Order: sequence, then structure tokens, then C-alpha cells
Amino acid sequence: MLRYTIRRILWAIPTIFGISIVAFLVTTLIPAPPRLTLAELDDALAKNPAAYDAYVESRRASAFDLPAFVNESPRDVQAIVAECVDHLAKNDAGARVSAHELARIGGAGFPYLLPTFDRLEPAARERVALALLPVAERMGQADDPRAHDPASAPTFWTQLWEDRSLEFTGPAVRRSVQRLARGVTAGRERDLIEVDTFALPELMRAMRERTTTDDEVARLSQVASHVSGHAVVVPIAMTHEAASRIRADWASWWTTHREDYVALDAGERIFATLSDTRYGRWLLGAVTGELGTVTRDGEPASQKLAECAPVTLALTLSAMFLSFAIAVPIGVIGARRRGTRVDRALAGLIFLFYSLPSFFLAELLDHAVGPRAGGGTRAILAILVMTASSVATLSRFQRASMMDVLDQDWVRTARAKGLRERRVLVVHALRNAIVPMVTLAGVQLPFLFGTAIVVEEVFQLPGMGYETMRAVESHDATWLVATVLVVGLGATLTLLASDIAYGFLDPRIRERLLKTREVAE
Amino acid sequence: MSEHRPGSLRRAIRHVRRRRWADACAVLLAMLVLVSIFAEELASSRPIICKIHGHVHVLANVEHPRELRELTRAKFESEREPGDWAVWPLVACGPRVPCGRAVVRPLASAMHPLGTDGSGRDVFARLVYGTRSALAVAAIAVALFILLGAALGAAAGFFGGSVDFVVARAVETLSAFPVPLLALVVQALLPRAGTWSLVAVIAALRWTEVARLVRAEVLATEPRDFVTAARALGASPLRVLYKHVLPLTISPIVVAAVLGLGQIVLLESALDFLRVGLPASVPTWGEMLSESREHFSAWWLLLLPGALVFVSVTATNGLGEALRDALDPRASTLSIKNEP
Repeated sequence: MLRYTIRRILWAIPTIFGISIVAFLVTTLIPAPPRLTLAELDDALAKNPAAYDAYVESRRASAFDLPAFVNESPRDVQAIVAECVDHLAKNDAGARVSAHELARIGGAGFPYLLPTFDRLEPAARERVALALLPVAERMGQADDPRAHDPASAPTFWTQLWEDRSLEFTGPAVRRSVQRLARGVTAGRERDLIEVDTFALPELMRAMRERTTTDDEVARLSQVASHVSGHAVVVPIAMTHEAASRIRADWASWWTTHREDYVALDAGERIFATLSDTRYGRWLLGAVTGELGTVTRDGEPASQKLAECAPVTLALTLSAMFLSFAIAVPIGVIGARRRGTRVDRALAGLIFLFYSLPSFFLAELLDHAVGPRAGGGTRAILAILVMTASSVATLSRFQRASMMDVLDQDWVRTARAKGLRERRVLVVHALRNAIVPMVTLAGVQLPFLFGTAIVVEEVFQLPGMGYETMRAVESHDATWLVATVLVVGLGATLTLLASDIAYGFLDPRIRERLLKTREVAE
Repeated sequence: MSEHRPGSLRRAIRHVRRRRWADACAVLLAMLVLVSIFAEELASSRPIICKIHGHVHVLANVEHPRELRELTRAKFESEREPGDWAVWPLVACGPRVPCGRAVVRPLASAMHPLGTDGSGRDVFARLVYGTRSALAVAAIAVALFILLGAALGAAAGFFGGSVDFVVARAVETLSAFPVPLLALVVQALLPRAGTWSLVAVIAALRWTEVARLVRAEVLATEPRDFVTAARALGASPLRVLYKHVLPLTISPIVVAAVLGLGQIVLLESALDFLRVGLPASVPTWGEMLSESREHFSAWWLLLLPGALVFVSVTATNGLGEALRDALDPRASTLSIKNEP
């Protein structure tokens, strides 16, 4: 049994991978912002820096700046700084963009920039030093006139590095962050602001930790917003919901911006060739529950899923139980009275139900109860429609399976022993005939979810299907992708569970699976 | 020779002909096909043949000539000159343009035998053209998914190994998703969603069943003597596949095609009902049904298109199952429903 279970689980892995690929491919349908050349970027930055930032952010948010599956040369803060300095030294078309980028990266780039400052040509040094002026402003050093003057700016930065390089170390920053978290005073906040973006990794770590309280999150978030320029609204009256929203916001910001502020070591670099891709980023987000934010109302998709999924799950499971409860007796009667008028009447009825479009049935019932029906009535009708749509398949399957069993010798033996017909049917035949139905439970789930979309829409029930239709109306890719992923995974896991249950109930299935290489089709 | 094989198609068709209800399904289906082919003769705002101001226009209902752009039946009657005549379609209204008062009951007006909808469009015309769009989409999608499924299934069964593995995993992956969900997500996000993208999406999602059938059939045929004989005679693997193995898969493919037709009509009208199927300019049953939500008391806007979906799906299912029973009586009743 254990070997069978493990084998079956291993088989599900490629499928789960396939599901993630399908959901990822859905994300690629979202139209990408056009890719601009360096000259166009330069032009955009010169005209409107805010629009330039918005453009870069929009590409970055969906990882459009990364390759789809393999990233041969992942960039980190060190590489970006070197590239920017190179552009500034040559003073070519990328100089303006590079200056802007250097200013954005700020303090996190200092360990790779300032120690090698002297090696640059004097003119290049001046350009780099002037590019850092916005950083000086963020650090509260802009009142020093030397930072503004091209001639003295390099000295200003060299001096700053000589004085402060000890503060640009991990442990020093960690202590400052801990002190800030515990209680805010102007001095503690200044400690962090003075190392600028270098504090971001520690700030993010502190915000991720569970021990950090809501008020601490608010303080940390304010500093992080100040240095990174990523605005996160912190309400005056802090609530737990607001805090978790802030945490989620920063977590998703950090996954897309981490490489701008952190240097990768050798291991991370190898990992980054796969993870620093659109698929990798997306998968990482999906695995950690960071499915993004629903654009319609700004709620995290994972939270919205937690609200909607129970409704859909309750509908689906009740419909499934109800349809099994109806289908099994119908199938048994059909098989027992094979070829009689009863069987034919049942088969005809089932056939009509099989072809009945569920949206039509749902509309009919909706018209029948009128628009002012209560939530309970509508939920019951929804379950009825879903049941009607799946009962046909189930009862046909049950009839066929029951017919197979009734032809078996042990049933004849049971009858020959003189057992009552009811006992033969229920104990000897049905117990065996119902086992294959277990597999159908796994197959029914995706089908019932498809029906749920229509039914929830007609009866206005706030489940995943209803929410999906709202997402379609507002072109909300985040929610659609999240739904595709969750539903696909849910269906695979149900199928897995039902297969394992089938193997548990029927040893022959286990043997067949272990013997053959391929899943029994 | 093939007529004597138990699984042969011709035999199956003869078998189906003998069953009254299966025959009725086939006739119903044929009628729907005829309606969709001759939609313009049943409902159009232009006459079939007419003579106006000395000019004879033939098939103006199909071609919509520029000179007759403003013409309606009422206008024709009022401006009629001596010598003018016209043969009109059954209903002199097109499906898209409002043509009379809104929400007219069926049989209440000679002009609109099945009434009009909320914006004054003729229900009969919309049903007729809805039949056309449903059947056309279903036919094209079925043709596509059968081609795709047969190719992939044959490749999986014939080459085995990694090809088989990849196809099997793709089938498993796609079966995990509810087809309507993926179709509607793709239709919603695709920048230029329309008829062709709908057909392509349906085909891309529905090929799995055919692939499974063809693969199983190919695997079953492979070890048989005539295949070995063809190999021994020096036939290339592709020739063996094409000439000897694939012809045997025709029967299950035909059954899958007929059943698929009904399922796709169901899927497509469900998507139209959710307004993510065909573009809004195309009249469809599903869209009519969803419009009926805005006119709660107008029963005909709900019942007529709904009944048509039901009837067409029932007809294809009936025919498909009769065919399958005739081809392989043991395999009956085990199809699993896929569409809402």
C-alpha cells in the first residue's frame, strides 16, 4: 500500500508541474508594456521622470524585464552598479538612465561603488558623484554644500565613506533595525536613513518575522518607504488587517526588487539562473502564497481565495454528495431491472438530464423563484442544478459497474444460498460495484467547478465562480491566474486522493499500477 | 470487406437507422444544419428576389446590395410602384438590427412570429442565426480537435517512450482543469479575443479525449499480424501508421466527433451566456439566454433559446450514443460528461 501511494504521488509531480506551466502561460496572455530602447528610455526620463519610473515598475511587476524560463546572467546590485558606472564614465546614451538608476539603488550600492571611487577618471567621478545627489537628499545630507558642487562632490562622497563605512555592515544595520522596531525616536530612525537602501534587507527581514508587532511594522514600513521610494499607505489607526496588508505589499515588492539591493553569492547566482526568470518569479510567488493583489478592490488574491473558496467548496461538495446519493440507487435499480420498462424509463430520464444545459436549468429555477429569493433558497437551488448536471454521469457509471458485478459468480452463489434479494444486492453486489465510483469523485471535481461558475453567476452567490466573472469584467489577470492554479491543483490532489482510496479499497488496482509503467487509463 | 467487421462504421450506421429514436435524432440534427445553411432564406431584412424601380435583385438577402441598404418590408410596401414585386424570407427581419417594438409576445404580431427581444430585435431571426453560429463553431472546433488529438494520440501510441510520456502528462494536466474555466480565462485575457480564438481555445482544450482513444487503438493494432506483414514488406513506419493503423481508428473518432459536437455547443453557449464567448455582434443562443435576465417576465426569451440548446445537444448525444452502442456495445454508458 505504501509503495503504491508513493508511486502514485510521484506520478502526480509532472502533472503538478504541467499545471503550474499552464497557469504561467495564462499570465503571458496579459499584454506586456512595450520594450523601449535605451535612447527611448533616455528620452522618456528626460521628459517625465515619474512616467519613466511608472514604466519601469510596470515591466518589473510582471517580471517582463526577465527572460521567460532561463536567465543566463542574473543581475544583482554589484552588476547593476558596475554597468551604471560604466555608462557614466563613457557618458554615452545610457548615462542619464544610469544616473537615475544609481540614485534609486542608493546606499545598497555604496560598498561596490565608493571604495573604487578613486580608480575612476576625474570627469567620470564627478558625474557619478552628482548622480548620487538624490541619495544625499534622502540621507539628510543635502544641506552640505559640497554635495551640490561638481568639483567637491567626489570628495564629499569619499569622506562620507571613510567616516561611515563601518555603518554599512549587516550587523550594524540589524541592531539599528531592532532598536527602531522597539520604539521610535528621531535618532534611531536617522541611523537607518543614513545607510539608505542598505537597510532594506534587514527591514524586510524584520517585517517578515512573526514576532514583529503591528505597530513595529508601521514604523519599519515608513523607513522602507522613505529609502526605496515605494509608497505604502500606513493608516493612523493601525489594525491587524492593515498590518498584514502592509507586510504582503512589502513581501511582493521585495521579490521583484531584491536583486537591486542585494549582491548574490555563488550559490544564489546558480539558483538565480532559474529563479530570476518570469516563470521562476511567478512560481516562487505562487508557492509562498504571494498570488498578487486583486485589482478590483486591492485585496490580496490569497485572502480573497480564502473568503470565496469555502462557498464554492461547500456548493461543490454538497452537490457531489447529493448526486452520489441519488445516482447510486438509480444505477442499482437500472442494473437490477436491466432491459425492463423501469430501466428504460430511468435511462431516458437520465439521458435528458445529461443533455440539459446547467445554465438553462439555473435560469429556469431563477425565474421560478423570482429575483427576491433569499440567500438560502438560492444556495439550495444552486446545489440542485449542480447535482442535476452530474447525476447522469454518475448513475450511468453505477449502472454499468453494477451490471458487471451482477454477472459475477459470487452473486449467483449468494442467490443460490437462498439469501434475500436485498441482501444480495446491497451486501454482495453493491459493496463491490461502488468501489469504482470512488475514482469518479476525483474526475467530478473539475467538472462541478465548471458548473459552479455558471451557477454562482446566475444565483449571485459570492464564490470563486462569481468572483471569476467579476475579474473577467475588470480584466483582472491576478485573480484569474490564481483561480486557474488553485483549481488545477485542487483537482489534481482530489484525483490523487481518490486514486489512493481506490487502491486502498481494491488490491488489484495496486498490483496493476505497480506492475505496469503507465497509469491505468 | 470491412462491412463484415463488427466495429465497422457502415454497419454501425445501418444499425442506427433501425432504431427509431436515433433516427429521429439524426433527422433533428439534419434540420438544424439545414436551418443554419439557409438562415438567410428564413430570416433577413432584404428580399430573396425582388424587382424594385425596374431593377431585379437576386439573393439580396445574402448579398445586401448597396442600393437596398435602407429597404425594409414596410417601406417596400408603402413605396411600391406598379410592376414591383418581391419574394421575402419567412421573416423579414435580420438578427442584429432592431426591427419593431421591444418585447413583443410570440404570435402577437404577424411580422414577428416568435416575438422580439428587449431591444426590438426579432427572436426568430436571432434563433436562426444563433443556430448557425453554434453549429459553425462546433463543427470547426470539432474538426480541429480531432486533427490535433488524432495526431498527438497516434504519435504517442506509435512512437511510445518520451513522446508518449509528454502526451500522457499533457492529457493529465489538461483534464485537471474545468474546460469552461480555462476557456473563459483565455478569452478574457487575450487582447484580440473573438470567434477564431474561441475555436482555437476549445480545440486546444478538448483534444485529450480523442488522443486517448487513438492512442489506445494504435496500441491495440500494433501487435496484429497485418501490421507485422506490412512491416515485413518494407513499409516505412509512417506508411504503416497512415495506411494500416489509422484507418481502424475512424469509428471511435466518428463517435467522439458526434458527441463532441453536442458538448461544444453546450460549452460555447455557456461561454456566450457568460458573455465571454463569441463577440457581441454575433447572435448566439447563450447571449439570448443571458439577455432574458433583464426581462424577467418575457418567458419566450428564456425558453426558446434554452430549448434549442437542449434539443441540439440531445440530438447529438442521442445520435452519438446510438453510434457508439452499435460500434461497441460493451463500451456504452461510460462517457464522462465534461461541459456545464
